[in-house]
Amino acid sequence: MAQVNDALIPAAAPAEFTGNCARIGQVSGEVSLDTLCAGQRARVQQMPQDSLLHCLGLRQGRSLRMIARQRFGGPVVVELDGRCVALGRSIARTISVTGTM
Amino acid sequence: MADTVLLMGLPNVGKSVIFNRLTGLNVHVANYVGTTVQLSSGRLRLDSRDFALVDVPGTYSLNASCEAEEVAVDILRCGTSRARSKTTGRGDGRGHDEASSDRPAAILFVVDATNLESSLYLLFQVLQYNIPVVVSLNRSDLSREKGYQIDAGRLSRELGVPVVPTVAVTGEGMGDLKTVLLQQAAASSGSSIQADSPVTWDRVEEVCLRVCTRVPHHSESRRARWGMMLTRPWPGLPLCGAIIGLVLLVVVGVGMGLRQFVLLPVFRTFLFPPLENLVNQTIPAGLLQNILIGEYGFLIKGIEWPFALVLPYIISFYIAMSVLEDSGYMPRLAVLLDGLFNRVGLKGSGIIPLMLGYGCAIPAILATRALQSKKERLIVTTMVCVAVPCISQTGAFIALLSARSIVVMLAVFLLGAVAMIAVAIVLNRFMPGNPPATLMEIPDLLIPQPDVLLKKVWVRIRLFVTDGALPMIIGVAIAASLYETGLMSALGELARPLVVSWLGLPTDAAVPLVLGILRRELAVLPLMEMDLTTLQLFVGAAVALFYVPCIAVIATLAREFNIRLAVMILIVTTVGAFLVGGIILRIGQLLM
Repeated sequence: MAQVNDALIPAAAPAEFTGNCARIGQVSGEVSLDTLCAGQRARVQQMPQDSLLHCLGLRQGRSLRMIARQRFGGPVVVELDGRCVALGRSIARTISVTGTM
Repeated sequence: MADTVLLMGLPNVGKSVIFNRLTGLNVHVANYVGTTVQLSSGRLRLDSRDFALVDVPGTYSLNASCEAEEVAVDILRCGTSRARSKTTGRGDGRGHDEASSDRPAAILFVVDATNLESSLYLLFQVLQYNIPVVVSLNRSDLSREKGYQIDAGRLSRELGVPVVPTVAVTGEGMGDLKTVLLQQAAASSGSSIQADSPVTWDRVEEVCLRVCTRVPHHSESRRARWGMMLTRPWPGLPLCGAIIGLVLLVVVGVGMGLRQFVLLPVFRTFLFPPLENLVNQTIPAGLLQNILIGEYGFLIKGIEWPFALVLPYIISFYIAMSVLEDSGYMPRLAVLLDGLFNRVGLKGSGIIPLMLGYGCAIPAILATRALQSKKERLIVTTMVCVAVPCISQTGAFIALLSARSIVVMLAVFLLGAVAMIAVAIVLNRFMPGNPPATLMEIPDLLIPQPDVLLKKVWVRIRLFVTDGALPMIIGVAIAASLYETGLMSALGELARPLVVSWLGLPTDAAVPLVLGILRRELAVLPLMEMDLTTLQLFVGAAVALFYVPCIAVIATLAREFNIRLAVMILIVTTVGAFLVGGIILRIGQLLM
């Protein structure tokens, strides 16, 4: 269903300034998921083999969009397959992605 | 024993809504993961056959990686009785693989049309148990809105089981579901197609591609845009403040309005005068008459307190709460505040039981089952028991304080909030371990269905009448008898050192302290009749706030945790209440 969903995602939201994420267009090579800015799209490269993560739609090769980086050190929220999932930063750090446009 | 039909599926796909539709029961439903925390069973009548429909808490897989998944696997293997004994810790835990006689007759599997892949992954695992399955393809209205079209016929052929499109919240497709379910329950085995091959994501994705097409010309709905806005820190955090403010305004405003302009006038004009006349005419003046219509008149206060002072807030609170629950705002709140909750050893999802606690502590304590760690459960439960006033008590505070001093009223609620945070900080410091990292799905924002919402409020009102108003009326009857027989002053004398010397309250104030054990608001309402100074009001209200949660809550604690915790909460709340009350009095006296 991956192809179906890419088209579903609406135009990129404006990047939100949080001070510690890579800016749009600067993602090159593999980075960890928690460094994406809101609005950026990426594809999952490597991640832990975790049943719950897989069930929530996070699997290798999946494309996603960063929706929000919560304040106070809270989780990041990503959209996969039209559904939103909140991931604690410590989990997001274990997932490496490459930026896509 | 009736044959069992299991209701299974991912979390938050509408299983409980379907359960309620099919059984006519009213189990709790809401738009967040983990609403159903216990197995409920209801009678499902199909034609002339009776089945027991069991609402199994939702899981993402059957890999037995958490308690809910273990329970689901157990039920599939050997029926509900063994799984139940396992959840209460009494099962022998052996012999899972033997086919037991109460193996389910059929499974009603709810597929979330907006989340086909994950649903099918779980379904494929369920199909391996070779039990007849009927698929309810639920929320197809939402998937169409998102731009998907799922071919139910094609899906049925791919799976080898019947597929019925449904929209549970409106009741669409429920009739078809019953018909197909009856046919399937007569069958003896499950799908012939899927049973043997291993379940992999590749296989699931292939099936999805074959049954799902994209509808062109779709644009993001306004609901989806709001859903995003409420999830991002900007403008989500300021909106969160605004929404909580609005909820408070609705709860207090609608509650006060109902009380002041509807219920009190009706009771005082149409009900009480004839009642008093009747008693005056039939019962001679004296002890009994005083008990019925005197100062604590059980016929007067026993009706006015539960139905005119507390009921309005039950109605307004559960309207507001149901909107929050069914819209899917609660998980957004949890995610926005997760970082702050982390600092006191909790996760954002802890806010759901906390908010339920402002209604009643019992559902709040049950809802803590959805929290992942024992530490989180204990912290949230203690916060609710020590410092969160239930809606009945809140109604009583408003009745007692709003006319006398808004400042004191706000101070009482602020005191509760500060104490709640203090409890969390202290417990977090003394209990080892950090909460596991947050990993949760944020459901779509939905517009609550008026009929589902009204039903929830109605269930709450009914529960209040049976479980709340009755103990309250009994409490008032006890108070009336104590007062009129002079036992109350004896009791007051006994408690004098504590009530009068330490708390600076009149001797009569011993009564609410006794009644408060029965119901939280009864620790407050008798103070209304006592002509207290503002400082005394604050002391009395603060003591009531921290005082013993009602007896039903203590019983729930013992059942959900153990006697030790129940006794500890009892001691902490009692000692804490008197300590805080005495301190407030002394600080107040210094300042004035």
